[in-house]
Amino acid sequence: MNKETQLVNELKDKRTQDKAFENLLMQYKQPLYWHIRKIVLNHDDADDVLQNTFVKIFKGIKKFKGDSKLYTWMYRIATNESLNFLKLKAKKYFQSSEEMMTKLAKNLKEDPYFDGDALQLKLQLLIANLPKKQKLVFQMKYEQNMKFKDISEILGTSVGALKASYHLAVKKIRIEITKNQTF
Amino acid sequence: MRVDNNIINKKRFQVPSDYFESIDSNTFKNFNLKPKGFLVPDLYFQSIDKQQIFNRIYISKIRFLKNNFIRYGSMAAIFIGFFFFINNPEKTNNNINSSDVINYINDDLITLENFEFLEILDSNDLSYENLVSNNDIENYFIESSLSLENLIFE
Repeated sequence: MNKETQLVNELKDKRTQDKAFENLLMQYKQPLYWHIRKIVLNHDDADDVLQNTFVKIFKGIKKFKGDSKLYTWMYRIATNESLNFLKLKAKKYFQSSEEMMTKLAKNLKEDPYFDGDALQLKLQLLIANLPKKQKLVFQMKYEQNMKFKDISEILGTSVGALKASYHLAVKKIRIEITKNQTF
Repeated sequence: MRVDNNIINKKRFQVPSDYFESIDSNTFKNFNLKPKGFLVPDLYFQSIDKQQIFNRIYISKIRFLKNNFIRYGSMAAIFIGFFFFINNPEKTNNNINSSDVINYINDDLITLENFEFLEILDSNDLSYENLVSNNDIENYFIESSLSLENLIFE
């Protein structure tokens, strides 16, 4: 039995649940936080979504059958939570998801928890303007260096389609980044 | 070219003990977790603990119960009210007794004009003969022991 299976079994057992959940939290809070943060961009929102993600993980672990890896299952929950959060936020402010993402990326300039330079700001704005699937695959592959197979499990899309989306996203961003660059 | 499977099994191709068991915890080592430019408050990750998550689970449970209580409670109240109304429609109408009506009128909550009384009452009800009969007057004089003389001279 590998460590992941052992952890899942401990999480399902009421006697060992608390301790196992503590271990899970210690191990995954940072990767999941950064995954969420890249989607929602703002720290406070990321914190809120992260906690909701762990609540969903705790409640849903009984239904986890082990068909996929534990971390891809958790990433899938985090991704869905982040996207739902953005959808609700856009609805709250009577904006489309695209408008909301552009606004969030522009707000990074005044964000106390962002110290990126002009190029990084521009990159975030370009990523925010990508279609949803392209944005997610770009963030996971380019920024997090995840494997296409794992991204495929998280997003529920075939590897071929993901590669095509990633290629398009890279192409768009490369064109935009180099467009106004002076050498 | 045919690959001999025995080559793979040769001792020089070895992995550290527990390598495959520990591969899951090493998954994130190849990830670039923190994107450039993004920061978090000091000690943020240390502040996230299981108690924080359990509190949120507890709050969501209470919110769920509260919402359900309001939802089903109001539905039950409407159902019970409707049930009683259907089964006892008269009871609700007979709750007002005559003394309540008299008190209501006496409290000047309803002021009727003369013509309104005329509309309500029949003209025979208001005639003198119907109110006091001749026999009643005779009996009154007899019982009160008043003589005709006394009445005249007084």
